[in-house]
Amino acid sequence: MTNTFSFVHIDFIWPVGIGALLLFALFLWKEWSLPRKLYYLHALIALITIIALVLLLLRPMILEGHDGTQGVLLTEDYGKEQLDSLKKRYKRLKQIPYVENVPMSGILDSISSLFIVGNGVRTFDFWQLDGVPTTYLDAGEPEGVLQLNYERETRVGDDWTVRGSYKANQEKRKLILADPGGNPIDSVLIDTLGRSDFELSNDLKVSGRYLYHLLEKDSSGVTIANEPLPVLVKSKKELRLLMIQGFPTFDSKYLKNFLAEGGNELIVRNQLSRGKYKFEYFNTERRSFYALSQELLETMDVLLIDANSLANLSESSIRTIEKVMKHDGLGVLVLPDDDFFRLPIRASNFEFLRETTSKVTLDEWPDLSLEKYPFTFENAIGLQTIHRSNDRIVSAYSRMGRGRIGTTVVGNSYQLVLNGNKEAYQQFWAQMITAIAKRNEPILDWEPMEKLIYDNEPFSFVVRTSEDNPQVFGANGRIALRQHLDIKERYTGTTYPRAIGWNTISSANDSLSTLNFYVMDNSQWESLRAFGTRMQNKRHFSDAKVSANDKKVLRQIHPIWFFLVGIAGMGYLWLAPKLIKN
Amino acid sequence: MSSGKQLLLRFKKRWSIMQAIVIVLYALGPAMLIYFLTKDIIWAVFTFMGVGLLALLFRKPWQLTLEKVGQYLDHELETTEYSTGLLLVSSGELSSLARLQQHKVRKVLERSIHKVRPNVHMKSAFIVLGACGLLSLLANQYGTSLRSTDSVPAQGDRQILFTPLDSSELKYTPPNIVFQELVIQYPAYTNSAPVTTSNMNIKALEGSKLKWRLRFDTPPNQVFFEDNEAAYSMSRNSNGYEHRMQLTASGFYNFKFEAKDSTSHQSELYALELFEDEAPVIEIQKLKQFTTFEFDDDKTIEFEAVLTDDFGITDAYVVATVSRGEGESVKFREERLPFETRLRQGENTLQLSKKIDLDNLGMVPGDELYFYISAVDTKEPRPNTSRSETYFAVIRDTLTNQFAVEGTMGADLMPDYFRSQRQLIIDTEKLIADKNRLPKNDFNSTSNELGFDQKALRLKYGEFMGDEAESGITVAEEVTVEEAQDEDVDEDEDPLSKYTHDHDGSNEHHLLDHEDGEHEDEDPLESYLHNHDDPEESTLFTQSLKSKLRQAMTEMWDAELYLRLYTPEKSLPYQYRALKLIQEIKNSARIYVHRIGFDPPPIKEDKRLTGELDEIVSFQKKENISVYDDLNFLRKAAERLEQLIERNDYQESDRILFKESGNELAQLAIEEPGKYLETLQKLKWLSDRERHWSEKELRQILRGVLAAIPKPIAKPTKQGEAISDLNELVLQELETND
Repeated sequence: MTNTFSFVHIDFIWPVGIGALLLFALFLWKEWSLPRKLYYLHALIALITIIALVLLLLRPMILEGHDGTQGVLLTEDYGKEQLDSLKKRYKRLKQIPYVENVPMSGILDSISSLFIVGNGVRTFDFWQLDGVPTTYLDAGEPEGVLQLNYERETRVGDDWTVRGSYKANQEKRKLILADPGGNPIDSVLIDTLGRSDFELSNDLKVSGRYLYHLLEKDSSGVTIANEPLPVLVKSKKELRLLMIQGFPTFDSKYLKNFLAEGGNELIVRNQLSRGKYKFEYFNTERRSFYALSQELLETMDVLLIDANSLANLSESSIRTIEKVMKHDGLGVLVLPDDDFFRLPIRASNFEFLRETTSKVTLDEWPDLSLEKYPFTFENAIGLQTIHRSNDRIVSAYSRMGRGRIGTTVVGNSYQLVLNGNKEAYQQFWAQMITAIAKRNEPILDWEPMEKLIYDNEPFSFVVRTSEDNPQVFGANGRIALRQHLDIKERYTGTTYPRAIGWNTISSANDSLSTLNFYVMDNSQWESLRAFGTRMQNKRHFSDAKVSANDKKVLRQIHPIWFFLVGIAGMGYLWLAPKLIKN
Repeated sequence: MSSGKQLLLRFKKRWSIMQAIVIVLYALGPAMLIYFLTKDIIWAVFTFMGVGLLALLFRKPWQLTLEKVGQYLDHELETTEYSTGLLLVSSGELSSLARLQQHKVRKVLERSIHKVRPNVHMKSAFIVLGACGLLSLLANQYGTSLRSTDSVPAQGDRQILFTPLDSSELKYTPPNIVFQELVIQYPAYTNSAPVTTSNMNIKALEGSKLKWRLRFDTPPNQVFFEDNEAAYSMSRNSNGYEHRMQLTASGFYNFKFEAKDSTSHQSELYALELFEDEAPVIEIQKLKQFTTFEFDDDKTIEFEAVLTDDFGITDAYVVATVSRGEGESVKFREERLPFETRLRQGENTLQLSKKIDLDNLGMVPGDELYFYISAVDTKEPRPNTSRSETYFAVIRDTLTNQFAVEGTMGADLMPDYFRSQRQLIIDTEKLIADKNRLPKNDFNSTSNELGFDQKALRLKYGEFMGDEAESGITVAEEVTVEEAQDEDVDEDEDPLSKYTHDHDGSNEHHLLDHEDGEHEDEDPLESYLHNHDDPEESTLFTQSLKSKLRQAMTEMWDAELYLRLYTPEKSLPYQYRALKLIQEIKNSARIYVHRIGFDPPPIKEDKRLTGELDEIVSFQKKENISVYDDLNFLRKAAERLEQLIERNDYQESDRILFKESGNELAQLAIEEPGKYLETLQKLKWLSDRERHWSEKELRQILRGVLAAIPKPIAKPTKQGEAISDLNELVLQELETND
């Protein structure tokens, strides 16, 4: 009922109703003396009059269809031509200027459908247009950076690439990636008009919070735009590794040196003879072991084991490894030999296909050729690729509980070092081991929802934690968190940052765990933001469920009608006795 | 009214002055040019004086006499009627007519002498001056300078500029440098005079003594000399402030003083660049690396050596080593030979010659001489020495058997018989040489004997081949020469059938069969087997040797044949071929022995890891590879600078951080000062001075710091991952459905 009919003063309904009833009862009692026929007539007229009076007080509203008025919402950067052509088509077009974050339901009620021209409505204002049939008139693509993708949080030494697409309306635009000091690091010349993709990359040298810059220059070298690229660079954490081998090989020797020189804690065990081992401890304390115990494996991040040793492990050792993998997330890297690839899947965990080539070129290093075993991975469910060569999988891991087991078909990788490609060698193994290594489980895991964060605009983030009642604090005080209905570890929060620059949100229980985000002012990344808003508007309003005919508004019935009915009724009731007397 | 003579005197004076001006103008131009080129006033003055003197000599202004002036005037003014000379004579000595003329001339001169210009070419002097002026302007504009330029930037030449460290207002005008001087005294052994300069950027020889002297207009409280390590207070004396040090390492330094109002002022950074004394360079001319002498040659080696060093050579000599003997019995003898040319110590370039007489060294054929030149320079305390490449000289020994098995070999597998083929050749050659002198009978019998020897040798090889071993080398029948010759005619029959045993013959056929190679295909397994049972295969040699040996035996067969036919000439080529083959066999045998050392036979699988393990123990090795980061502070400084850019809150702890990072950068800057010097300078200021730094300045420093940090090494790391119950459930499901 409330949907089709309502009152403005719905709160008065009880006192007014009771009063009306009492009034009606009084009238009935007062008119009792009248002849029956007349009595019924009077009673009816009195009822109508009282109802009219009641409605006059309560001000009823009914749902009404549109009255045919079109509106246009003028948002940022709207085109004059677009507006003019709209005006030509709809004579009674109502122009509504758009102001962010200001309610406009009053104006919107009077129109039946709405056009949006320009960049569109900000996402946080979408709710305002929920009941209005809206059409977003696409303004095309603005000039400048339209899309941008890069790691906001990364680690020292990792490849850092800024990818995006750029629309140029003039030739010979140049995009330059500059480091926080202003050194140009990488640049790309955009020679074609229209939209083109770009990719800029850099090595992040030092940890900390940095503001890289993307400079846009025109053909004469004048800087058109200088946009910030905030990035949080974390330092790398050393690993604890255990290397078990039947006998030393060149490959394992180089790998051992690489890992030890990187400062990782490494224990290497080589078999000398039956029951005799050579233990090497790098950056860690001495401790001898002969069986792979749970206590030992639990302290390790990665177990590197050659295929031969793996095959010769006792049943209980294998069970222990699997247990630690499942519950503790241990990573196992199998250093393969020829026989390993011929093992059945339940022994090796992987399925391999035989092939003839013994050389491979990885996608990361297109001009390097690596030696490999004449096998390749068969793609299976749950297989995660680490290295790829075209469509073939060169290194991969699969999950076992929390842990991972991985291997590669690349062999004799040390030849990379001998050929002078030390960097590629280090990258290869760093990627390999990082992918497999045990993960760090933070008490709180933060995930920002927005990529471009502006001052005084809502910024939402997700916190994942197993804490019972997590409390987080931003610059403006505590931020309320909303727990997910089904996933109890997931909380969302929204804050309105005020200070431009780096902001942090921290947890009350774990002061080390913080979310760092960079707040920009409105003038930054304009084209990117405009394009984003346009795309969101396009998406949001293209599947709008409200059509122009459906649009109904609760409208007040004008009180004059009730007044006239009331007056007429009262007039009759006043006049009738006099006429009857006469 | 002036007398005529006075007129002339005045004109002469004018002339002289103009001449002087011209000389000065001529001298001024080149002097100006020299000044702008050298920027040295002394040179300019010398040039001025030199050119002036030349012009003076050329012009000879002292030769200007009144007579000459008169003649010139006569020439210039026709109205004087060539009578100017009269003016020089007193009127009393003249005739009345002459006096009249004198008077007339004087009148004329009075009227028109000022129209005459002395015979001096002012114009060309001005042109020369103008040209020189233009040239020097150009030289000045484009910075061409004759003065040698150092690698240090030119800024060091300027006066030392001090900037206050405190941003607070200065109450007093700070002291200014009025005098700056740097004396570089090279080490004594270089015999170089001390260099005095006002350029504060230094490039000097290792061990040089440096002395700085500064004088201020108002003496400050204290003056410090700061280098990478520490700050030294400069000692004060009547001449100002002084600091001395010995140059031991490259680096940077700056000055700092504390003024009377106890404000600190710091100068720019200056480079201290050290270069080392180079070792002498030896160049040997007219000498081959290897020289070989025959026994009867003139065994002298002559060569010239050019030795150069940057600060002089003290000594040079030839070190000669004579080796005699071979293998284990080799003996060495070393001698130091002086050069023939007398050595002048301390010279930078020496040209020396040497003649080595091998006979004087007591060398005999087979001996080898190795020698090289060694040179020592003047450096102190430890002189640099350098040596040339080694040169060789050998007197060829014709007596040694070049086919001898190497003395270094582990085992000499070759039997003695192998050596007699050469003896046979020698004997055959001797027989051929003596053919004319010997009676035919003797010749024939000797040839036959040689044939027998050849047979005996062949049979011995047969033993190695696995032929039936005969008990001793018995040759049952001796056939007469005549019979043999008769048989020789018949080509179709085997001419040797009568001389040989049957099994020899069959063996020959057998050998020939082998030669054609078809036999090899008979048994494909042959090459993989080591069949001891088959006598044919039971040899001391490997398969590859066997075929060679068979070939050698075939050659011996033919050699024997022709010896038996008394034609040793025809036999010789076969003998040589046999010898060559035997030599090859020896060589391959040698390779075989060497290979044994490299490739041990594989241990059988079932024998592996079954040995006695009592003495094998587990082995433990512990190593801490400290990842020492020599740019640790620089990295921290980069992070801190970025923070400072965002929020300018300079703290006391930053001072130490920037100081340390400055020290790290200084190490890099020593190698590439141009790249890092500016950043280093600013880092130093940042660590010393407390003031508001603009964002632009901080960014500039950060830029330099980031440029100095090298690309990090890829390292594996731990990633973060949030685990939720839902994730675990999914993983479990995955596993159960796997």
